[in-house]
Amino acid sequence: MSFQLFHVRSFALVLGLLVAVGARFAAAESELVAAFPAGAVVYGELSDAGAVAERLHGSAYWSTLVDSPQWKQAQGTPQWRQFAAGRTLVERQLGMDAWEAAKSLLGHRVAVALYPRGPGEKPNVVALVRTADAGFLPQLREQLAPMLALAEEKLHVSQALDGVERINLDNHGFLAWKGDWLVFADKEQLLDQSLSLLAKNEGESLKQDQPYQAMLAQAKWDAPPSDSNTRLLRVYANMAMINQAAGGRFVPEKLDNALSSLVLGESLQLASRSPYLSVAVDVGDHGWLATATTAGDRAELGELYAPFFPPAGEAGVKPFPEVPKLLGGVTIYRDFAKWYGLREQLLQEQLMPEFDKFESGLANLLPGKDFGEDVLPLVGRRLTFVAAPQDFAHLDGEPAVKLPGFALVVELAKPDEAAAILQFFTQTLAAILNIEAGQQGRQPWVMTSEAYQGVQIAYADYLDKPTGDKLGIAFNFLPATARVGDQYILSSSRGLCRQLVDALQQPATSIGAHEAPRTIDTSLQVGPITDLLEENREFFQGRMIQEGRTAEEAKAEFDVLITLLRRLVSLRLSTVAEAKTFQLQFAGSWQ
Amino acid sequence: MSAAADPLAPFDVATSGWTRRHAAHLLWRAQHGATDAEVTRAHEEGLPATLDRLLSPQPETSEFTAADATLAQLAADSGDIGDLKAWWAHRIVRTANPLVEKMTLFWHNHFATSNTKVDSVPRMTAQNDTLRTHAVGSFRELLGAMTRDVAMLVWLDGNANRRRQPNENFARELLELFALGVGNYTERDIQEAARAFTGGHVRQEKFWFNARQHDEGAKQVFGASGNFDGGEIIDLCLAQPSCACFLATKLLRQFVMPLPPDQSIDALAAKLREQDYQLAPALRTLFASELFFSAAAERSIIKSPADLVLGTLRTLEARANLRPAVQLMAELGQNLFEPPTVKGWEGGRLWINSASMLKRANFATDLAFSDRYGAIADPAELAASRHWRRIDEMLQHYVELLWSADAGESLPLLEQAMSETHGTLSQRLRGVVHLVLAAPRYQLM
Repeated sequence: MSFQLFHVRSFALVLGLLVAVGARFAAAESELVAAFPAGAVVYGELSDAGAVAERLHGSAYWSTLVDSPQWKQAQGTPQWRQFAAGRTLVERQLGMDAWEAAKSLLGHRVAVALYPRGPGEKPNVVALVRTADAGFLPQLREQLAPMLALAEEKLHVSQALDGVERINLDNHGFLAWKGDWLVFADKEQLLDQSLSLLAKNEGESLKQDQPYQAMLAQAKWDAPPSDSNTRLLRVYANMAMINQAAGGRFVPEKLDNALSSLVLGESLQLASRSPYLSVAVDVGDHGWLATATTAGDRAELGELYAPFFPPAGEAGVKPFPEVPKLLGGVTIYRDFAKWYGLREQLLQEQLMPEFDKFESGLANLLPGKDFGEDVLPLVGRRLTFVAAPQDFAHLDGEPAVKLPGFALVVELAKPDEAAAILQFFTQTLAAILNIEAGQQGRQPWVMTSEAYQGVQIAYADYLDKPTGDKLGIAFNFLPATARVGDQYILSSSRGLCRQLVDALQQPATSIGAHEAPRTIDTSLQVGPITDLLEENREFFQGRMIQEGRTAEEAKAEFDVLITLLRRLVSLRLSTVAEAKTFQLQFAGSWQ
Repeated sequence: MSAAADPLAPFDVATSGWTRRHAAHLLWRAQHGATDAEVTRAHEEGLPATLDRLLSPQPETSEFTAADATLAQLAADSGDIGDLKAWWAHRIVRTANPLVEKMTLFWHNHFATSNTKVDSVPRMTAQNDTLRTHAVGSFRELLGAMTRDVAMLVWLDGNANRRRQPNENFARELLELFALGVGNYTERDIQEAARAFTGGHVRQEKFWFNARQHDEGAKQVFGASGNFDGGEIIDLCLAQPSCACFLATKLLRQFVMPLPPDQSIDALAAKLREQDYQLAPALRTLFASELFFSAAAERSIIKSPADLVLGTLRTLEARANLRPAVQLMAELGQNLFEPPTVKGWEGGRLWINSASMLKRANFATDLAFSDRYGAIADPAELAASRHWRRIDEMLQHYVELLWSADAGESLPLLEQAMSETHGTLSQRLRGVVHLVLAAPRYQLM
């Protein structure tokens, strides 16, 4: 088992930066977009980042971060020393702490927009800053006056009648400021347009762009966030311009990866057809919600993409089954049989031979049956994959590396017929694995069954219970299957299978309960996952030592990771298919 | 035998001197690589004290012990042979007993057993531990231990060796590869020896003497008759004159030169017999000999992948990235725990071919400029810590460390190479490290 610990650590650190936030800020509709000229391809606006930074700086999370081995290691690098030297120079010039200066300058409102140029050229940029303290920019200007004087030959400073000061940075950039705002553009014409909009509200602004207007109407980009959360970040992208820059279509009509098509097919196509893409990040006391929205009229996609959406009025994915200490799961809604039947139109030609090989191989196991015509239509439209801790009751001891139990819950369109075929698959798999077990000197499985809560559970068991406190990783797995109504459970653990039988026999209420139709839902409960990581600490520290750390460093870094993860509660990623929009939501919560 | 006629006469330190170059030569042969501090210490201590230290157990640091235990546990828990390889690589790079690890690898090649058939981390670990226990001890005891080693019995089909139908695999390899060498036995000797080893089986992951399957009849081996068992076959093997010569040849080829003179083989063989196959005295004689420090021996051995990859990581005191390092060794032809055949790795000139030379050069590039196989100490920071002010001081350090030689004529060329590259001092010095590692002479030791 390999585990990209580096990516987990980086992800945890990035999340942690958001975890320290718990403040409420006051930003509803965008204040700055009206000052940007029309025609931007991307626009982003950050609100009240200063307060966020302040909370982060004073949080326990921050002190954990700066005491971490990673931080100390970073401080030893040449890049850090250069940064520290630069900071000292800036502070001496400004006569103020660099951190405070950055907060004052960037901490209230910051907006940036990119404007297209020719093919292959870097876009033009316009940036606007509005400070909370009206006296800050004049103070900054005063501190920088000697430097401006020294660079007189390269900089051209001029004063307009309305009090706006303009600075030409040797024709590489253009700056203007007055009072509490400052504008930068790398093209003078853009600066002039922005100043006209700011001062006199003259000219066409980004706010009037048609895709922007469509976004406002559909994506509620400017609406106040719910539950007294605050909108920290807003991003808008003009997809028509992006498609044009990509030479027609950002996303090809036919994808070259089957899994991408199955999981992301509809979202990619909607994004490429949408006039806009918007992102809004809301932050509250105990969580955040990031929402990416595109126009999503599924009717435009036609019958080819019908397998990706539930029929009107029907729910998409169902809530996750309520299993104790659920680590997480993924649930997806798709008409799998129809998707498979349309694969030649959805996927590129070079993938078709792989499907042919797959079908030929499967025909050895199921003579006389066609996968697409006879097998897949038996499967319903919902697949759910879950993971939860297991009890290792099948062992007299436990494995050295403890994995959770895993289970796949398959909705069945034709329960009786489908259950028989799935049971056959499980038996065949067990037989093959038993041969391998014999070759490797491991205990073989015996297939047996039990009646549990009125449901027949078929499961594998050992002839003699394996004994030991450090058993091999293979001892985490002991398959079990069961059918509950039109749901078929394939599990790596009998205990988890029983829990799922209990859950599926209850009315559906769970952590994943929702109203809007979702087509994919992914949930992670960070607490139980962190417990599992802690139980397997030696394994991960060993991997870190293999990568060059000392035992002490590995322990210290792992401790930091666990501490950071303990602050998180849950993560959720899901897609929501509304009538006119399609959303990707990423939410998290912390203590 | 007079000193002049003795092919393994002791190296005359009084006449030849004991230089850093001699110390580095000794350590690169007796270990996998040598750090600057190790060479300095060996130079200051002198040859006899250095040999005493190499041939006696040294305490490991607490850091090594902690990491070693964690890595061993990881391999046991995961059951992944890659983790076991990483564990061993860590020992080679970090241990305070480097000659023991070198000899363990020597014996791993000698009693070549591959996990591709054994397919078990615990079995391979147990064998490795056995090799380490006897690495510089008694060859007699080592040979005896290997007749009861579970991995060896699985590898050579021990459980198929039964009274009514003896399996000759183990007996053949014992005579041909482990004890005597080709041509020093007859087919009859193999067949009879196989009968002696019948009943030596594996049961519940342990050696089990299956008496019911043991052939109790009289056997005739090497002209001697008796109801021999496995242990007695070992004694008979070691009593053969060819055994000591076979072992001496291997040791001389491993540590001194690819084609050792016959007289040196005979001399070392005599030493082995004299000491009843105790390895430490033989190794001491070998490492302390004039032949070992002769011009003919110097830079006569092509670095194995272990010497090149792990030796360089040790020498440069890099934070080794172990799994990629052992993977590279496999690509260069030396896959730990998975020798290609029961004959092991032949080595020598066979380490070098067009593909492996390219990989060796790429290793030099990756080590100098990236963290792929490990992070070396930043050259500029090292220079600052040693208060080196001049470029030639920095260059001299790396040439001495890696080539075990004075920079000499190479210095102007290296200075020129440095001046032609751009970037920070660190980047330019890394460029020099790369040049030194990629040089053909670095492939030799």
